[in-house]
Amino acid sequence: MNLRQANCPNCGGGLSFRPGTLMAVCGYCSSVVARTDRDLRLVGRVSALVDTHSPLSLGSVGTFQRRGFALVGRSQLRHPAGGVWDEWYLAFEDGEWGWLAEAQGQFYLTFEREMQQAPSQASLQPGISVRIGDIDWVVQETGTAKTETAAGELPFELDAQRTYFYADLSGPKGAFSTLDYGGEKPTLFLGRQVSLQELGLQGDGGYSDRPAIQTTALNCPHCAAPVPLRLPEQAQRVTCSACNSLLDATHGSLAYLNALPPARERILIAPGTEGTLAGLPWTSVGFVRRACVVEGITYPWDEYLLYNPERGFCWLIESTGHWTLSFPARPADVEERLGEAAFHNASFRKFQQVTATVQAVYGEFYWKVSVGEKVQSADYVAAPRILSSERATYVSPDNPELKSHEIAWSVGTYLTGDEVWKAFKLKGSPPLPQGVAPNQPNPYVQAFDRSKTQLGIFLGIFLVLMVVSNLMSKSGTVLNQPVSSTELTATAMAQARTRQLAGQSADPSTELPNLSPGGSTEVVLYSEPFQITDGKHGLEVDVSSMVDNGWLFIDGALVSEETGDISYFSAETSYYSGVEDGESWSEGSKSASAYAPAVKPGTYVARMAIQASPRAPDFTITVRQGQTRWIYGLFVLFVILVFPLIIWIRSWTFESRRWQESMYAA
Amino acid sequence: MNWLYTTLCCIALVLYGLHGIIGFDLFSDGDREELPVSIRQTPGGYRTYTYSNSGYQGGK
Repeated sequence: MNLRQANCPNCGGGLSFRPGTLMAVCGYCSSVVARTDRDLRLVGRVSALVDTHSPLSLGSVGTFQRRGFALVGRSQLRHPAGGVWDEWYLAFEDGEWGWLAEAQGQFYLTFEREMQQAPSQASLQPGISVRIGDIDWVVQETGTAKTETAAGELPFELDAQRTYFYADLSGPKGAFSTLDYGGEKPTLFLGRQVSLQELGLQGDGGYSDRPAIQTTALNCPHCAAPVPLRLPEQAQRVTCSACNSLLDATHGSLAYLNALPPARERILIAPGTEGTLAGLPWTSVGFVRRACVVEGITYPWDEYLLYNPERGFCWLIESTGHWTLSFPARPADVEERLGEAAFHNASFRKFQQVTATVQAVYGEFYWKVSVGEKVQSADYVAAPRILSSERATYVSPDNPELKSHEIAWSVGTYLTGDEVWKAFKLKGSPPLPQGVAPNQPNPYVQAFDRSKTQLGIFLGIFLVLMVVSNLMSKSGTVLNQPVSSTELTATAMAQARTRQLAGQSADPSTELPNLSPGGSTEVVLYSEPFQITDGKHGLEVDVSSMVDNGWLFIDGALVSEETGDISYFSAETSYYSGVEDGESWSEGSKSASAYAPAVKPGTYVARMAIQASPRAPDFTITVRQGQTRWIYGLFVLFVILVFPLIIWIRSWTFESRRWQESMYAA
Repeated sequence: MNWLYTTLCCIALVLYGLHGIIGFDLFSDGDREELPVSIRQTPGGYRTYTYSNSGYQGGK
């Protein structure tokens, strides 16, 4: 590394310049020294760095993608939402410079890259897609930032009061870039999020594990009560539990801002409570109650800000007894479509879009939260997950020039109250859940999925049994005998006379007998003998009649003279038709089927006791052997289907209740 | 619930299998009969034995 050593023009302290270093900040007197072609020029002085408790330090060396680098410079920039973020400058051994941005525990390493054509500032709106080169980017944040102070060597000319427009872009596969509109022409910094382990930092500074949360305390400027600060390096706002004041914590001391409405009664996880969720330890540091108004009704929900030194912040959200643990998501990983959003190949259905307003705050926050703060929020659901976007605009109260517009995505997973209570070892019991939450898992989905497998298996067995029983039966027609009305009438008359002669009837008829029950006779016929060879399966008896506006009833039996086996059956056909008010109608059927139980193989006749009205019709009787009871098949089918059907109905009802609450119910 | 469903389906399928393969029928007793020996030994006896007027059973 071609280092040039120099002395500070102001105090004589040592300065170093390497290729690409345009300015250096004297570590002794905070003078900013620019390197010109001929000598060093004193530009001015910068204020001391704010202690952000960064795990990095100047002088550390590391490697990234097999290239060595040194952390040689650092600047701090003021964000419109309050607070500062760090940018570290990495001098690589091959002469390239890297920009390492550090904000809220996350690190983004970028490199300056050529850009053919930069999008205009006006075209950059959070959430929209822009194409730079061959890559489609999603605008994550736009705003105006101000450089506050710096240290070490800088690869640019520092103007400590400079404000500039920037746009943070989220790209595919974790890519991240920043468009910097502070120079003569926009500059593109292209890279991705990195972990400190990836940078392999070593040396005197190296990097230190982030310190565990250590609480410090300052006194409330309003009531003098001690106010615990769990995130003194990150807290922008903190509330006093004694007087319920909102305090500014940005300048290392507390300043009274305003009184807050009481909200402590509903805080279920007090700030400072520690618990384990998603396999990580978390500390509750803040509480926000938000609400939206839909059709004149206010719907509140509570959000608990949790902090883990390694993972940063996440939210635990409680609404009507339902809980969701929510983590930030990259905008580029989300694709919004009409009525839905896609995230990591999963599709989420739009549930609601509201304006969320902060109603109460308690604890510490990394941004300048205030009661009345509004964000545009949209929720997309794929239970048990929920994908949420928040669009917000921040204007710095100290400097209205500093403003930002951003879209923040988060993906949450449903938790039960019991899980939260267990995680934080809370006393008592969680509030009972009311209704169905947007991302509440449908308890019947798993059961239905499982029953689908079983359903398939049982239906398969059923089909196999049907085929096997069909193959094993000797099915076929064993009798097909037409019976004419003439034969029927003649038989009836003969039987009536026989009875008359036997003195059984007091009213002998010499005309066609009435076969109806109101008449005096019931005719009994016997079929021709027929052979039954299948002694295991039942028989189907079909009766097909020419009945018209009347009925035919057969009380029958299949009788074996050889074995004495009798198998009973009964069949009725009735058919009526006519014209009424110019429209024809009909009801009933001219055919009927009956099942007769299996009988031993042998020769049988069908005995038929026949009733009919108003006259005896022609009919045909058909007997088929090797039949099974279809009602048994239906019953089996019912048993197989009824449970999955019940589960499906309950699942459908559950989903209906979920989407009743949605603005986008189908 | 799942075990109940499985059990019921298995019972139903077994009974259906027995019915289809060996002709087992839980509810056929009332519809099947064997003639008494005295009736069988009388020529045409079954005609009298099975003759019975069941009365009105059909019609509109």
